[in-house]
Amino acid sequence: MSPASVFAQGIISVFFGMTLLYLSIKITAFFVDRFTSKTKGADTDGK
Amino acid sequence: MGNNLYSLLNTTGFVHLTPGMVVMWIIGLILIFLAIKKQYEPLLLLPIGFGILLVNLPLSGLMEPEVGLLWKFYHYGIHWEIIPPLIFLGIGAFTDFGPMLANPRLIFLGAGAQAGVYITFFASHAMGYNIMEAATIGMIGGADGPTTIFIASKLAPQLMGACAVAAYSYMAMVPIIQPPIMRLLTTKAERKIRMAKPRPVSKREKLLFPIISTFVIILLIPASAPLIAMLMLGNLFRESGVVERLKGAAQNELMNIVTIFLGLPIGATMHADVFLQPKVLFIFILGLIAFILSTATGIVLAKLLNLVSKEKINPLLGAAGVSAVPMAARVVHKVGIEADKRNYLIMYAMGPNVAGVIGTVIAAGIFITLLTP
Repeated sequence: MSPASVFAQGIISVFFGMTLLYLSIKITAFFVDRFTSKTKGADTDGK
Repeated sequence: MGNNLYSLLNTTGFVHLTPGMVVMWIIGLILIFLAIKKQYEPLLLLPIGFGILLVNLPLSGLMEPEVGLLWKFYHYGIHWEIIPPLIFLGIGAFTDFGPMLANPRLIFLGAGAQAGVYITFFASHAMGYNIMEAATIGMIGGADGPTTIFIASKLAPQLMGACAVAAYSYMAMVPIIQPPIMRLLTTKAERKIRMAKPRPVSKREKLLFPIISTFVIILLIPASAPLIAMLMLGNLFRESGVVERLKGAAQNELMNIVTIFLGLPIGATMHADVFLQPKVLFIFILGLIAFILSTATGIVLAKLLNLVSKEKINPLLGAAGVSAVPMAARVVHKVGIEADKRNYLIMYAMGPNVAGVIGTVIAAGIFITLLTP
C-alpha cells in the first residue's frame, strides 16, 4: 500500500470514526432525554 | 598467573565496555535527572532511564533472548501486547468523559489533532524510513505513550525505545511546546472567545457511553480492540459505581505495577548498538515536528469549524486534541486566561483532550489494519 493511500485512508477513517462516535453520543442523549422525561411524566400522572 | 588474571579480567564487564555504552549511560542519567529534578513524566522516565543503564552494562545479559530478566518483561509484557492495554484500563478508570459528552462537537478537535500524525507519517516515509517505521514515528504526534508503544511493538520494535522516550518527553514538555504555537495561530480576539454553557450530562449517558462506543469503534476498526476494550472497561468500572474496588485497583495498584513493567523494558530496548544511529536519533526531531503539527492541525480545525458554526469555538481548544491528558487541557486554560482573566476553558478543553485519546487509538488501529498482513 502506498504512503499516499495510507495517508488519505487514515485521515478519512479517523474523521469517519469520530463522526460515528459523535452521532452515537447525540442519539444516546436523545433517547436518554426522552426516556427520562417519560418516566417523570408517569410519576406525575401517578400522583 | 598472567593468563589466569587475564581470564578473570575477561569475565568482568570492564574490558567489554564501549564508548557507545558510556554515551548511553549519560543519556540514561539525563532521563533520571529530568525525572527527579524536573519531574518530567517521572513515573516513566525514571524506570526507562534505569533500564537504559542496565542494558548498557556489558555481560549483564538482562536482554538476552529467552533467559534475560528484562527480555522476559519485554517479551511477555510488551511483545505479547499485555501492558499497554492494561495501562488503558487504568486510564479509562481515571477518565471522565462528561466534558466530551456535554459538548460532543468538540470530539472533532480530537480527530483534527490526528492529522499531524498522518502528515508526519508521510514526511517520515519521504525521508527514507520504511512505511512501518514512518507510522510508528507519526504516532508520537498523538502524545500518547502507551499507544505509541503498542503500535511500535506491532510495526517497528527496533524503534520502540526512541519513540517511547520521544513521546513521553514531549508529553512532559507540553507546557513549553504548545503555547508559542497557540499564540502564533490565533489572534487575541479568538483567544478571548467564550464558550457556550455546556448541557448537563446525566449519569445514564455516562454509563452508556463506554458500552456504545466500544461497539461503534471496534465494529469500525477491529484492530483498535485491545486498547479501546480496556479503556472502556476501565471507564465502565468508574461510571457503574458498583465496583469501587476494581476501579481503585485499575487506577492505583494495577496501574502502578504495569507502569514499572512498562518503563524498565522500554529502557532496556535502548542498547548503544541499536540506539546510537542517526536514523534512530532523528526520530526525536520528527517526533517534535509531529507534536507541533498535531497541535497546529487541532487549532486550524477549530478555526475551520468556526466558519460553519453558529456557536463559536475558542480555537485554543484545538490544541487540547492531542491526548496528553490533562496537561494539554491545562495549557489551553492557561493561555486562555492570559487573554481574558475570566475565561475559564479547562472544562471545555477536557472534551477534546479525552476525545484525543480515542482519536489516537483509532489512528493506531487504522495504521495496524492498513499495514499488517
